[in-house]
Amino acid sequence: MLRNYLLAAIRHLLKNKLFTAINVLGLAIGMAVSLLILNYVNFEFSYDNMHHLAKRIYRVESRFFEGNTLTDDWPTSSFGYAPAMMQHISGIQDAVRVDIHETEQIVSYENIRFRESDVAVTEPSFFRIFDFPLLEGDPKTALEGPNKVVITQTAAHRYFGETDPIGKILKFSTTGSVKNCEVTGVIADLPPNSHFHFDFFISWKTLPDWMNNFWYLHEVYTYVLLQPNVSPASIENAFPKMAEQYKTAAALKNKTWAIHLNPLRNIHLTPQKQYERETKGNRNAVNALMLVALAILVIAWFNYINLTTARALDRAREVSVRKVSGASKIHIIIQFLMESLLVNGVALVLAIGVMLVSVGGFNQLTGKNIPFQLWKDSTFWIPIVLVFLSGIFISGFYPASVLASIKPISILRGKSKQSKGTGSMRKGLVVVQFVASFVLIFSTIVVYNQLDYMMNQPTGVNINRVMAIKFPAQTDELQQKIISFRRELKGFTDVKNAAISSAVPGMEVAFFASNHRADDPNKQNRLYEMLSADDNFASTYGMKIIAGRGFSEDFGDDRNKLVVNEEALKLLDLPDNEESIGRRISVEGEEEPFEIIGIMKNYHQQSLVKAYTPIMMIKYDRIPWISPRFISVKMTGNPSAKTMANIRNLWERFFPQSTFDYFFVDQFYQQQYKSDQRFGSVFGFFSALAVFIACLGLWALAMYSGVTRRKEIGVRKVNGASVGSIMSMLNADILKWVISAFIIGVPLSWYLMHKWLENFAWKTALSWWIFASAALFTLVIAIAAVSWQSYKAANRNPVEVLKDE
Amino acid sequence: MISLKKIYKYYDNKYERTYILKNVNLEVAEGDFVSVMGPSGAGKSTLLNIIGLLDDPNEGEYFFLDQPAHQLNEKKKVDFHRHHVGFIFQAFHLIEEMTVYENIETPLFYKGMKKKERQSVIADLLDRFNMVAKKDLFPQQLSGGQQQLVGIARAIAGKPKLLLADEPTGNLHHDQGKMIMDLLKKLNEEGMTIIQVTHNQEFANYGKRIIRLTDGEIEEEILNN
Repeated sequence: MLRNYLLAAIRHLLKNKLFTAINVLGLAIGMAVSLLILNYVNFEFSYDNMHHLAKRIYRVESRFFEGNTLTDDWPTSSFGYAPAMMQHISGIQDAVRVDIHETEQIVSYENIRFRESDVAVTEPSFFRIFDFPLLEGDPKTALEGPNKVVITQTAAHRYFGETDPIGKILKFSTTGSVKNCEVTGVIADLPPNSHFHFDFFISWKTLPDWMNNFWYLHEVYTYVLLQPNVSPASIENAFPKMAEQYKTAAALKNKTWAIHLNPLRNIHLTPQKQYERETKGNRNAVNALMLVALAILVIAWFNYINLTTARALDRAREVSVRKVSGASKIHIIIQFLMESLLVNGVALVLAIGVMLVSVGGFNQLTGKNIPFQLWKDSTFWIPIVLVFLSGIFISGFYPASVLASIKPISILRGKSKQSKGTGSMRKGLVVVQFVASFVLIFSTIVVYNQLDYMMNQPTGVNINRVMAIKFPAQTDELQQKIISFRRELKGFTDVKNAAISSAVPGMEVAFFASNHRADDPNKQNRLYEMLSADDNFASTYGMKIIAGRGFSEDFGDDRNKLVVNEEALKLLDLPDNEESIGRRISVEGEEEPFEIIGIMKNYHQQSLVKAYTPIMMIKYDRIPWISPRFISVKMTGNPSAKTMANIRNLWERFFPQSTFDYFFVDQFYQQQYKSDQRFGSVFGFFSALAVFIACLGLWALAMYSGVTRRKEIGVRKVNGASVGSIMSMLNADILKWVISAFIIGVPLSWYLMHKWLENFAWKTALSWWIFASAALFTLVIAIAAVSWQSYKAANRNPVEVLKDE
Repeated sequence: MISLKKIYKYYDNKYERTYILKNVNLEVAEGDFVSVMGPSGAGKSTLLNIIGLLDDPNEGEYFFLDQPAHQLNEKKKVDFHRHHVGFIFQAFHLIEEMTVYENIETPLFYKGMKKKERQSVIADLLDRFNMVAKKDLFPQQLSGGQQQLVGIARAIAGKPKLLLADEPTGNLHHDQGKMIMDLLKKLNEEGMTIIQVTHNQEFANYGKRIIRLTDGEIEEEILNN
């Protein structure tokens, strides 16, 4: 019997090539897209699952509270947390610290020299907790003792080529120090779905001793391995009390020091915080993509339902004949489910093909190099089978039961009328498709509008034609050389200005200090971002001083002076005008209070995703731990090759031991929007696909309705109806559907996009014109999809159809 | 075999009731051949549909082989179609996507017949109707008379006791119609009970009895021979 059903189905599908093609195409695109997205989502959820202890590993993240208010939330902890926790809090089996306070270093071996940005310092327990296999060396001893380093395969290749790296000495230089380390191990490159990627792991003992138990430098990631069945909450709860005996210094004394244990496998999809080394995944984006995938699938399924039920009439005779030949309802349902299975099966095969071809393009779109793991992962097969089966059932069952309930009597007599029920069901499904299309179109406009807003809003700083050169490594008389280098740079004709600073716009300022107003009786400490800069910094970047003055040599010594932004004044409870000039601020670790000499207008140090932060500017050579890292060079025009060569030559004359590394600040600044732009293009592309599939279905429905109503159209034309009036009659339904979809879609899309915009500190409004243009756009493409068919139906010669009967 | 008692079929409009069948009483014995005649709208097809359990009467009783057929549930009706009755239609109603062979095979499937058995039944029928060479053709490739032959073959493949024919010759030329009627007559002689609806007096005369319907009522009944 199966063979009979299959044969009938195949012949039927082949006979109606257009409908079959629309169904198969829609379903195949839908499946391919959802499989791609599924693979992507699967990858995003697979982060850090390569460690067999992953379920018990947590990252210790710092949280500071004033009363019950969370004031600071960092992914890092200080050097001292781990030993103290191991000593005082039970339930922790093991812990490892990964120091990130100097990840950028100049690394050299003989004449090979690179500026490396992934240098970490870690403990021997690293290899006990994480499963990164050592290709060479002994995991137990590789990181024991000082001046050892374990490197990745890629790094090994970079410095040693084909020769054995074990036992070779690498030189690591920063602005402050030079260390020689012996290579004791080589590990495979860290997998793409690890939340950190380092190339060098220097042994912990290489750090100065004072750091090991230091509580006032939150620049390590601490990972703890809990004993089996220990709840992370018990560790979190025990921490603040224990911390009291360690937080003895003045800084942040008035705050409660707490921790949050973030499960290792959750790290990638929890919100990005300050001090995160890498751009994390965005759970909202993952959810949005899953929604789009679902929408595309649903739209394709609904097309199948609509096209199948609309054409029920064509199949009615066959069903009737089968019924009088003794077929039961179940027989008919099984037959049409088989047909659905066939269509879905062909679509699936096609979808897998499409997916294999487009996975590269998809990776380009998402900017990730996601290995295609479909075949390996058993957990991935389940959703495929689920999608397939639910597709067959959802798209097949309703049409099958509609067809199975056809009464043979009316059909066999040659009279035929469409049952009213399926018509309204069809309208309902079309409206749902329109709602989905409207929401997707609306969301795409909002996403692009927000991107456009963020990228075109004045940032408050002028970053055009500024080149930022990274600081050289430690050398004799670095300070003097830097000053001379800056002076000579300014002498170049193309160079307008040159400045030294610890950060440039587009990055976190990242040095935090816990400060308070000197005259505050409560000594209320809060955290401020400390930006060290020279006299030229504000003018190089065109920052506005709204009261007082910036740093300047004209006033002699600016040693204990501060230039603060408006946001910092707010936090200090000071007015943002002349009255605040001369107020004294007590700065963490400094005996003498500092004096405010200028107020800087707020500017966007980082992208508009983030709010303004409180910034205090100090002189670049004032506090050693807030060291300068960049020399910003403002050009008069686009830098010529000659100028670039001159700057490079100058650099090599002053700093022959350092690599010359630079970037352009405007490009760097725009990089911050890359992930949002990518999300925009992925979302926009898939939304367009979803709308396309919906239109395909609509187009076919319109064609069908043109056929079934041709007699009515003919009669109307004979009685004097114009082509225009017939077309508007045929298109009137579409207008009704779009209006219904608009009424349902507006609150839905408002809610969704309101939620999405909450991710941004600076955001556009969901203004009426976005709703209006999304509705108009939906209407236009819907009308476009049906108009060709309406036009054809309206222009048919009435004689042809009326003679038929 | 068939016993219809006071069968009424009507539609209610707002103010009046329109009768399709009015107080129809009919007895058909096994081996009978009944022709139903009458003008358009007289209720001929409705009567046939009620007998074939495709339609229900509003009032009255219908006994098939002494079973109260008007009380059968959906499942029993399927059984009825599977084992007791075959249909022939004016428009043939063959399944276009299936070959001659497969069309004839359809009712055998639903009877749950094994493949070997089906093959022998169909081979016999094709042989008898001289259609062996055409078994792999599709309905569109056949003439009207040949299509109706396939329709008859399909209707009798399951060896039903009763054959219901709704204007079996209505779409055929006279010669083809005559061939079909000769075949029906032969089937009747072999023991098949047949009820046919027809407009054609010549073809009605093939029946042993002719029932004339007017406005839903049996006007007269003529016995042939």
